[in-house]
Amino acid sequence: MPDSTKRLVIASVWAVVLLGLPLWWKTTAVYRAQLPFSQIDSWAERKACQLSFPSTFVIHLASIADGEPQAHNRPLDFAVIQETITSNVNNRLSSTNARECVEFPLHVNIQNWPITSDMSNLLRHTEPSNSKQVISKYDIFIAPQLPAPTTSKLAHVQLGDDRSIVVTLREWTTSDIEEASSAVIAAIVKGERERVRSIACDSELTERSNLDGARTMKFSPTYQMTFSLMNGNPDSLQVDWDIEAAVNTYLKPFISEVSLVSNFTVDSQIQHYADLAVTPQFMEREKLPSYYYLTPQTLPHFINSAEWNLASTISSYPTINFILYIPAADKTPLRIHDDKGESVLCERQPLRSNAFLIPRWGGIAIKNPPKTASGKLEFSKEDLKPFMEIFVAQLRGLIGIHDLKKTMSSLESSYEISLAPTPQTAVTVIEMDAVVKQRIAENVVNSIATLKSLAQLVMDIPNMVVLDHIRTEVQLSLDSLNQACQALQQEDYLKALQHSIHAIERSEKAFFDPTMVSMLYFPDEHKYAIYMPLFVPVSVPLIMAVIKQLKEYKKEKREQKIKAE
Amino acid sequence: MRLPTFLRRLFLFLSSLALLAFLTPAANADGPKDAEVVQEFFSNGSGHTNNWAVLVCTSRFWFNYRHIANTLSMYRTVKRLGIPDSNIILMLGDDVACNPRNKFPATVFNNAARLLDLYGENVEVDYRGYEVTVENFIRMLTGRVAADTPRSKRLLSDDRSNILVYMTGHGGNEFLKFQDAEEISAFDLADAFRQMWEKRRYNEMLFMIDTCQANTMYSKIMSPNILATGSSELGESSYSVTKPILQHHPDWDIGVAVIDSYTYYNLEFLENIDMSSTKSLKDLFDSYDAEKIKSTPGIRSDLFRRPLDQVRVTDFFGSVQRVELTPTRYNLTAAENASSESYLLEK
Repeated sequence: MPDSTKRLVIASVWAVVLLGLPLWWKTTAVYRAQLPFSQIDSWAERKACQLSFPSTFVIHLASIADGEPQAHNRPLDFAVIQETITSNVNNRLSSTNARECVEFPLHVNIQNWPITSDMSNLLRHTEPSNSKQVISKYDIFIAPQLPAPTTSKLAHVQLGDDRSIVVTLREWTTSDIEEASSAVIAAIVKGERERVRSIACDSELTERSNLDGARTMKFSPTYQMTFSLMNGNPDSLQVDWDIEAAVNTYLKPFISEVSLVSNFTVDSQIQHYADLAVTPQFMEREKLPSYYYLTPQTLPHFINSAEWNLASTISSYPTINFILYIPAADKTPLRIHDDKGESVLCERQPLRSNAFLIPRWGGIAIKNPPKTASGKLEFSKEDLKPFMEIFVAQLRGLIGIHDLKKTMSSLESSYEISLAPTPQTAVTVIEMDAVVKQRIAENVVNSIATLKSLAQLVMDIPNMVVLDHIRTEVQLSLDSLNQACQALQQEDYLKALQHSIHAIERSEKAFFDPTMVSMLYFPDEHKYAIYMPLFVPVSVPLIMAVIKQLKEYKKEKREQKIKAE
Repeated sequence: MRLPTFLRRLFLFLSSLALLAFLTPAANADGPKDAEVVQEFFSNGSGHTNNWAVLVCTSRFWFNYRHIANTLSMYRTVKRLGIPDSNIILMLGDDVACNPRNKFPATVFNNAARLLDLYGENVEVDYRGYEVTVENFIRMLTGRVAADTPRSKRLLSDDRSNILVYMTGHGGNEFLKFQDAEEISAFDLADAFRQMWEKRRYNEMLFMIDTCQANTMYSKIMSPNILATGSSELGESSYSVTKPILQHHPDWDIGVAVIDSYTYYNLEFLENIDMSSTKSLKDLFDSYDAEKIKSTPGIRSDLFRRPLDQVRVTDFFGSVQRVELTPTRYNLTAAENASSESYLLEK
């Protein structure tokens, strides 16, 4: 074979190899859609958008129209009062270590409020400036106590059920007005600011010791509520309950109020032969009926998980369990001792409500059947009312509602506080506002963390497939985060809540996508072991041929040189 | 000198007033007070509110009876100490109870005396037989299960869950064999744990492994809050069936070894524990005796932030939940127009 043909053949084989190499590299590369890493990073460092939770307070200062003592008609300088109130509140609430991760802008407007001197039922005269009931926008109506002071404290503060607060002052002076307004505003805003700040800014370690966070269920768009009636021993007493009617009558309004944030599905069951795993002790008392009791230390073992089947396969939503326990006849009456410490008579008192709560799980109430009960014990809707009240109190704690009475308790030394009761819905709008803000903060922080983990994961595992729909979900999640942040800045909390829920749902959908399982670990030795038996035997003759050709070429060149000389 | 009558009466009156003042319960038993009450019940600082257990037996075939028995013994222990079935994921690679070679059908024993049937009436196996694969295991741990996976096969832990992961089977240097067909490497496991940490799917984890050369399996873990313990060091193993070293003892009627030494001695300690025990993990680890177990158990605690003598055994093996007493109820009135249509109620 002539040399040139030989070289052509070898060259063509090598051309195929060299062309094929990048083709093989490209076709065996794992498909990875490009994720917006820089955007995710900027969100993780909180540079993308500043989280702010603004509040607006519109203060209506009374001016009494009909001829009244001059004292009450002194013209008031609204601008100065507004300035003073804002700076007072900020002074009271500024934290010692000012962290910039969350802002709490405060808007205070003062308006004139013309009223007559008839002070009866001031709440009726009040017209909230936001008839559509915007979250986090409150009206404070300030008026003097006429005709005579009604309280010895500085003022009487009435919190209504529709974000309106009526403050009647004992003395109608500018400083009193400023003092009362700042105190009320600070009290309302303080608790929620602290909680939002701790959710958004706190490091992990401080968050661990936060009892509120340990009790509140993690956010979920839907929760499953299970009511269980546990009968200790049906041999002595059979039980039944009209739980459907009780839930409809007593819980439905609460659920519909809270559905702003999360929905609830409700189901119920009755279980028989529900033995206790702990043995109650017997308390013998003279002159008073004796009873069996459980100490608070034994309560963590109350739930007999091995025997009681509380699991639900209905859905994958987080479950909140409420148990109504009827003790067996040989263990009635069964009470829970409280832990008020040793009293003078060295006796602990049984807890009146006979109920306790397990954080992030649910609540239990113990009902002792009446001594005269025998055969079948039926709980009607009215019989279940006290237990619904207990369960509602526990449910409020489990979904993060902070008691308004507690929030305002800091004012009680100087002001007389009265709250409009909400016995139907079991939650006030001010409490719901705080929950909305907390959940928005929780969702935003968690979706940022999820997206960051996703980005970290994708970068760390170069072999993992990242499909297009993952990128779409990530993009949608980032968009929702953006919109949530903007809605917050515009004080539109409802929209912000919706967007924050979308953000967390989409980021979790992307993170937990079934295709995100990385291929099993392949060390480099395995790769060599696979490719070497294929390519080494083939490459030996190729390389030898090239070397041989090069040697011949050099020989020829030398011969030609010698020939030329 | 006797006090005049009226002074005596005055004294009695005042002292009874004082007594009454002591006895009157506080009017507002509200949040912060509950918090103080809670601190007493739960002060060892782990911060967990629920417990999960993932118990995996990776072996198949009749002669690996002891691996199934190991896993079922741990299952019985965690159930006895309070973890509910809904929080236990039990993966058994084979069904030895109904194996045709089982002389005592529908039973699994972990002791030659056959005193305790582990395969009782209350066993819930989540992944069985061929479903126990590396892919399913990793998907379950990281949460990336298919959308139609039932709830009992999902690990629904959150950032306040303490998880016990127990694995047993045949293993080697940084790998664990699944079903005689595939293997999981220490890197895969460390990766899965890292992803769990990224998504905060656990608060603290106890990783326990009983195989040959088990301690190599946890050498690659890098995520925080993981405590690992294994049954044997690198190089300690035995493949001889006639003279088993890791196997504890055989049952001559059943014909195969029924339990492994490491698990056997763990159970000896755990059987003396009940739900309210305050024994710590340090006590458990101190009870390991390399001569009795016939291999060197290892403990890796560098990633774990709490000192071992403050960690209770029930923090991982049991389910001790904090409680808060509910002193007050919320006054409700009936809703007007409570219609008879149920609100999303399911029967």
